[in-house]
This record gives sequence, C-alpha cells and structure tokens, in this order.
Amino acid sequence: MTIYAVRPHTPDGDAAAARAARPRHGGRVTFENVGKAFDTPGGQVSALRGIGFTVEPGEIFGVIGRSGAGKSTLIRTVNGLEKPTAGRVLVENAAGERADVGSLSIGELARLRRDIGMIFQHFNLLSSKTVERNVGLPLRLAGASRAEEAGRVAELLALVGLSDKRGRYPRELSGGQKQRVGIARALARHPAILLCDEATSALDPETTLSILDLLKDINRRLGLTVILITHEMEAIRHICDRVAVIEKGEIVEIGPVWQVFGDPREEATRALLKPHADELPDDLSGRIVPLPGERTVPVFAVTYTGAEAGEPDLGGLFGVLGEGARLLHGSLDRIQGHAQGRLLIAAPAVAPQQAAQALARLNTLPPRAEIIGYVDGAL
Amino acid sequence: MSTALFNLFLNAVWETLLMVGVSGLVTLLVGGPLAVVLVTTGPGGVFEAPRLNQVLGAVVNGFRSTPFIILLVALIPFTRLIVGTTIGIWAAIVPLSIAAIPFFARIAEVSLREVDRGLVEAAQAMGASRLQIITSVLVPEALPGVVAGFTITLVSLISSSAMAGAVGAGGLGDLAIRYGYQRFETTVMLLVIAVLIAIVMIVQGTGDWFAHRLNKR
Ligand SMILES: Nc1ncnc2c1ncn2[C@@H]1O[C@H](COP(=O)(O)OP(=O)(O)OP(=O)(O)O)[C@@H](O)[C@H]1O
Ligand SMILES: [Mg+2]
Repeated sequence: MTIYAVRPHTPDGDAAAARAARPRHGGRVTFENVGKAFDTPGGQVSALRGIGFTVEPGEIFGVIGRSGAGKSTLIRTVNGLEKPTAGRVLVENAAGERADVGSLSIGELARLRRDIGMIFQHFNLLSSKTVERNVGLPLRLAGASRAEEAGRVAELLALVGLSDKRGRYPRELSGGQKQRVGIARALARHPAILLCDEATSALDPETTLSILDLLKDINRRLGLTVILITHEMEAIRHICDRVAVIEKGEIVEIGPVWQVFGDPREEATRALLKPHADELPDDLSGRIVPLPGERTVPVFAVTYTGAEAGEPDLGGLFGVLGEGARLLHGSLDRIQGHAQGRLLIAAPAVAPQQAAQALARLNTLPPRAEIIGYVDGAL
Repeated sequence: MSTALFNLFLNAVWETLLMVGVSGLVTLLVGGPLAVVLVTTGPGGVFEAPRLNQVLGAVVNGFRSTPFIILLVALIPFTRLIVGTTIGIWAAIVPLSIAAIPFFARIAEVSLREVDRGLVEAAQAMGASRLQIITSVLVPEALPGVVAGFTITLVSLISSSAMAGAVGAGGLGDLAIRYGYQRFETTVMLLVIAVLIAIVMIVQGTGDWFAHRLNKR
C-alpha cells in the first residue's frame, strides 16, 4: 500500500532551525556481498549472508525483519561498529569520497564516524549530563570551542523542538523527548548519513509518529540519507522510500515501500504485514489495490486524532471529495469530548491527477488524510 | 582531663585526620586509575588485554585477602624503603594506602562496569577515541558510584588507622591504647570513641551528599 503526504512536523524556532538546516547532499552506502559470522562458544553463528544493495543519497531506506534476523548487525557495519567477515561496505560522503569501512585505520574510522549519525532504541544518553551537554558531546569530542558548541546546540535543539529543555537531565524527559535529544546529538556534525536502529521501538504509537515525522522532516530539509532498522512496519510505511526485508541474515525482498508492502512476494514479508492487514475487514482489504488502474477510485483514509478542535466537519469533507463519495468502512469514537477514529471513503469524483490536490485540501480541514489505495469503481 | 592530656588528644585527632587524608588521597590517585585499567582491559573493554587483566586481578585479590594487621607487619621493609622509618604516621600511611588501594579499586570497578554498554557504543559511533570514551563516558557516568565507594574506603581507612596506632603509628588509636587501655583513663577511651564516631559520621554524611548530588539517573 502506498502512502501520501501526512501532516508535516513543524518544530518551533523555525528561524534557528532553518540555519541548522544547511541543505546538503546525503551519503551513499553500498553493500557488496556482505557476510558476517560471529565466533561463539557454541560454534559459528552466521548473522549476515550475501547482502548486496545500495542506499542512494537523500533516500529514507528501511530494513525490516523479525527479531534476530540480523538488522542491527547490518546497520552496524555501516559505521564500523561491526566488521563484515565477507564482502565490503562502501560509504560515499557528500563530496563523493568513498571509503571501504572494513579496511579503515582507527583514525580514519573515527573521521568517517563523524560523518555518520546514529540513534538507538534506548536512546543511549549520558545520564550525568544535561540535554545541552549530551547534544554537544560529538562537538566536544571533535574539539569544538565552547562558543561553537553553544551555537550549534541551540540550533539543534530548536530543530527538534526542545529549546526549553536544554538544562534538563535525561531522567526528566519522556521517551519521545529523549529520542529527540538523540536525534539532535546525531545531527550535531552535519552528518551525510543517519542510522536509526529501532529508534521508535521503545515509544508509544503516537510518539512514534511524531519521531518519524521529525526524521522525515530532517531528511527533507537537510537532504541526508536515512537508514532505518525496525520490526514495526508502521514506521517503514510512514516515512520510507524503499524497504528491504531481511530474514535469517539474508535480504529476501527489496523495493519501493508501496510495492513490497502492497504486493509482498515472500512469506517473511507477509508475516510482517499480517498484524497490519488485519485492520481492515477481509473483503475490503481484498478489494483495495495499491496502484490506480483503468476504472479505479481512490480510497481516502481520513483520520481524526482528537487533536483538532470541534467535531468532524462532514460537509467540508464531502465538499472536497465531491459527488458520489461512499463511506466504505470506519469508526469514530468520542473520547472525553474528542473525536477519534478513521473513515475510509471512496471518492469517484476525484480523478487521479486531482488526488494530491484533494489531499492537500483535506489536510487543511483538518483531519489527517492519506490515500491508502484504490478500489474498482464499478462496484 | 589535664591540659597536657587535652593537647595530646588534639594532636592525636590531627594525626588521625592526616593519616586518613593522605592515604585517602593516595588511594584515590592510584586506585581510581587502577579501576579504570581493570575495567578497560577486561573482557569487552576498550583496551581489552586478557593477560594484563588477569595479572592485575590476581595482584589486587592477593592484597585484598591479606588481613590488614598482617599487611602492616609484612610491609615493614617496604615502608622503611619508602619513608625511611617504620614508626609514626608517615610510616603508617604506606600500609594504609596499600591496603585501601585494591579495596577502592574493586568498588570503583563495579561502578565503572555498570555503565551501560550502549553509552560506550554511542560514543564510538560518534568517533570518540578510546581515551575519550574513558574521560567523557565511563568516568562521568560512574562518578556517583565511585564517590559512594570512596566514602566507604575512607571510613574503613579511619578504622584501619586506629589499628595502625596500636603498632606505634600515632593518632587516636595510639592514644586509646596508651591512656585508655594501659593507664585505665576511661575518659580518654570514651572521648576517642566519640570522636571516631563523629569523624565517621561527617565523612559518611558528606560522601552521601556528594554522591546524591552527582546522581542524575
Ligand atoms: N556479538 C555477537 N556475538 C554472537 N552472536 C551475535 C552477536 N551479535 C549478534 N549475534 C547474532 O546474530 C544474529 C543477528 O542479530 P541482530 O542483533 O543483528 O538481530 P536483529 O535483527 O537486530 O534482532 P532484534 O530485532 O532482536 O534487535 C542473532 O542470531 C544474534 O544472536
Ligand atoms: Mg537489533
């Protein structure tokens, strides 16, 4: 299934953020037949086998797989935390300089790592340091002056919307805020590549979305390449351009997200998608196709998060969707006075080339809207 | 109590503080780095060196399992070599430090080892050198535990210093033996006990306060 524009994240302090957002190009990562075997007391464990693909500059690339599939091992080969036992990993920075990660000396590796940011599932912030000091750590390690550090940290905190928390300690922050600090820290030295290892797996669904929106926003503004490892398909669906499915150390499927998720060819992919597919009644999910066809009608998913004021404006909704709009499925709950839920609406009056425009208008209403697929218009 | 005895008493307090203070300082300066070496050369450490780690570990354990009173006697030749005498507070500082260093190193080692591996990894991912990992991650993160451990070390140094007094090192232990025990001056004995309790309480309270202040977890 494909997904279109979702309400972009707007952090506060836009002016400072814009300064932090020096546009530049992302790095390219090429895996060439990469293998990794661990020596353990119980014998060799083969964690990766024959991995070969390229992550293009500026792309958000997802790697999804079950626990133990080798995701972490794979992403860690990019910044040399793990050395491949076969093949090589090539990292090309924005200036076009290429490095074979496994063959670098300690000094060269340290230099490469300054060009690659990383965020972690458990945030890995120093508990003894304030938010400000945590974000500034990569700069201090590189020998930045106090003034340089202070200036850059202020920009970064504005970028992730945490300017007011700069003097706090990590234990005083929520999970989502900690991950924002992690992101700011990872961006400190203008990296060309951002590695995210299960960056949202410790967060609740709503916070997950806000972190994903932030990552997408950063990717758009800074143009850096993002590699995102997760076992949650929601995360991939929400922000990734392409995805690779990894199973028992091998890539079993790779392609644009809409393709891999819309038409999974491997059992492993289907297994990962299953919990999500269950959201729709069987007959309906069977009818929805990922791409427009001859006589198809777009299906809009209109989500009410409860954050908007007032009650859902159905008049406005159908004003955008036009004549003949049909409610396929959906529910709305009223929880403590806030409308929450999702409606699936087929809109025959919206021609394919108008779909994006209709989406933009819906998003000003404002529920959150996306196109989740297409159904046959004859039905 | 006569004025002369009172002066003796004040002098003894001073000597005890000096012995504990100097040997505490030596312990911190030697034991702290020793703990860092024990952790970083250990399995999975940033300077992994199994042989060195085993040898150091064995030496530390050797000193740790020798009772202080035996160490006191056994170290006499070494003490003479270093300070030129075997009596007085300066002579006591040698065995006191040598007993406290491995004790403190082991306690500090535990705190250092408890630092989340993820933090070390995050620093590596930032391009930190191994020395930077020690100074910017391991030490600051372990500091509250290390301070608490140093407090325990100081308290045990206070009691050991009294023991050293028994073999002529000076200080409160010496006073208690000579006046309280050999001359039946109960007042002196009670005063020594009271002062020792007060010193321990002050040290413990200050240490706890610092450890608490530093702990941001
Ligand atoms: N240092 C190591 N020593 C031995 N085996 C390891 C090591 N690291 C990973 N492995 C093994 O390699 C395989 C892949 O591990 P990896 O951590 O990459 O999985 P993952 O996909 O990230 O899983 P999860 O979703 O649980 O994080 C597993 O079988 C694991 O046991
Ligand atoms: Mg993992």
